[in-house]
Amino acid sequence: MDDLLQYAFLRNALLSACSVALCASLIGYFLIGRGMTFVAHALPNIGFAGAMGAVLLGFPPLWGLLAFSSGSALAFSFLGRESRKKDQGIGVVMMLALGLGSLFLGLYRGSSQKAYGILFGSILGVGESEAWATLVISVIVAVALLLFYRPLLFSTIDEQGAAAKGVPVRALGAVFLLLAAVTVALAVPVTGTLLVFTLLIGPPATARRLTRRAGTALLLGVALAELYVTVGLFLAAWQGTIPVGFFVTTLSFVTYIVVRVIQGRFSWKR
Amino acid sequence: METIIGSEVFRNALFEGAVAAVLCAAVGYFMVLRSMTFAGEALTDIGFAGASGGVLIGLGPLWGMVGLGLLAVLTLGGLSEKIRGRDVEIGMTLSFALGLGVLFLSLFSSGSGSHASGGVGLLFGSLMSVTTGILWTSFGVALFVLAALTFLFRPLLFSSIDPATARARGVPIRALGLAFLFLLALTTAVCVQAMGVLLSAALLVAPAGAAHNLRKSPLTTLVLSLIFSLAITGLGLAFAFFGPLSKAPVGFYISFFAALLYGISVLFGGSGRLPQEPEHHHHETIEPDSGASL
Repeated sequence: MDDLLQYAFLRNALLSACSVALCASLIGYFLIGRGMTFVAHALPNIGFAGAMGAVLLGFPPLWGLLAFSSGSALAFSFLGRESRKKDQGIGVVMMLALGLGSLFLGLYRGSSQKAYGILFGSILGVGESEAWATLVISVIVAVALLLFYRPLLFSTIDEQGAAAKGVPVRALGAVFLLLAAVTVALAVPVTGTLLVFTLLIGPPATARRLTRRAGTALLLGVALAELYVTVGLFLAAWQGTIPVGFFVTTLSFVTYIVVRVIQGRFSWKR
Repeated sequence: METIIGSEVFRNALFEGAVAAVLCAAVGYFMVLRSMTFAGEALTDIGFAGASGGVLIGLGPLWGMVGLGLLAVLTLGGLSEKIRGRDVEIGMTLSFALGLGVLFLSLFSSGSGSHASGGVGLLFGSLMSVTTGILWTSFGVALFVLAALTFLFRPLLFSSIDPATARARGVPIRALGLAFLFLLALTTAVCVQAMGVLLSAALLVAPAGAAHNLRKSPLTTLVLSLIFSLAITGLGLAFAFFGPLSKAPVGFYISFFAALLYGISVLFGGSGRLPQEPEHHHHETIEPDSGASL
């Protein structure tokens, strides 16, 4: 392990992946609580389209990522809570964004390698300054989330009650989704669109099954996310050819299944 | 213009578009009715992973997609007692399937070389590259799925609109739900192979969603979603073949018209009658620990 850490690219990868895991699992806890798992899937895909647009126009991909993901996050905050309508709205926005993405791909010749890089991320190609920048932004997102922690949790658990007590539910929802958009924009270049989704949903979903207390679940989610990316990265570095994403998604899925099975046994005995 | 219309590319695209439009509209009608948009969207992405797996082990993309799709449906069925509204379970299944897709693609690319273009191609797809073989497969699967939907139409509609009463009357809700997910997986497999993830998702969600937004009777809604689907596909193909932007792919046009249609339906349907879903519904979805008490 010490040997592996001597490689700078691995250190940078670990630093940036752990940073991303921190804010992704925090954001994911609230996304799940608000019934917005679909948003966790849609935002990275929408961001992908934005990144392609930026590449086409000659801007840095991050600008396109931020523009598309935060634009659609604002749109999502108007969708309300009725699950059928909400999912349709998310689906249509995502489809429109991907349509634009396919237009950008069509207009930009020879970009499929670039598209591939955005889709699957380039975790092993993260530079040192990038890795530190990822950490700083991630901590800022986490702190911002903690500032809104109590009203956000209240409005996530009981929106009507929170609104009745004077919590600005709408505005809070929009701010939260913007933070989610920033998280996604931060994470996509590092981990790719596929892995962002896993980090957003996997650790918090398992944590929520293990404890009913919100604070404990949040911390447990962060711990699981850090564990997944660290173990995943070392496995990938040790194995050599199989990408990090596979190890992280497998760890996340297997842990979740094991927890489900053990809980199933437990409730049988009761 | 003569030459385009006479060409095989045009003919295949037109036929495949029509078959997929009808199939997606019919399946999408129930998908939207059962609030399963995320499941449908997830299955199209799972198909993407399945295709790479199928190619890797030599089964071919279609059977890879069907296989992984069916596995995903079984996982979903095993994980959630209630198939509706269980988006965390869908998310976990999808995330693992995508991880498998990454694995397949990396194994695949260490063998050949150009994984990237293949993967991205499948993601965005194109009706322009439909072969006669794919066309016949989709035709066959479409016939099967539509026949099954016709056979199950009444109980499926009943259990979708009012599951509690349907269960009380002895309709096997869970089996029906699983059967429908299987049909959805088959549909996405065929459509993803023919026209990519993007277009399949677009045709599944938008026409049916728009038709439901107009709040008509079930049968009118179904017919409307068929008409919408065919119209979107036709318009998209017309613009892709004859439109001013020669490099714009058909996926862009179809998703653009689909989103436009959906937007119009929201504007016109929004001020109609009261929402169909009861108000207390949201307590079920935002209960913070509802997952633990499953």
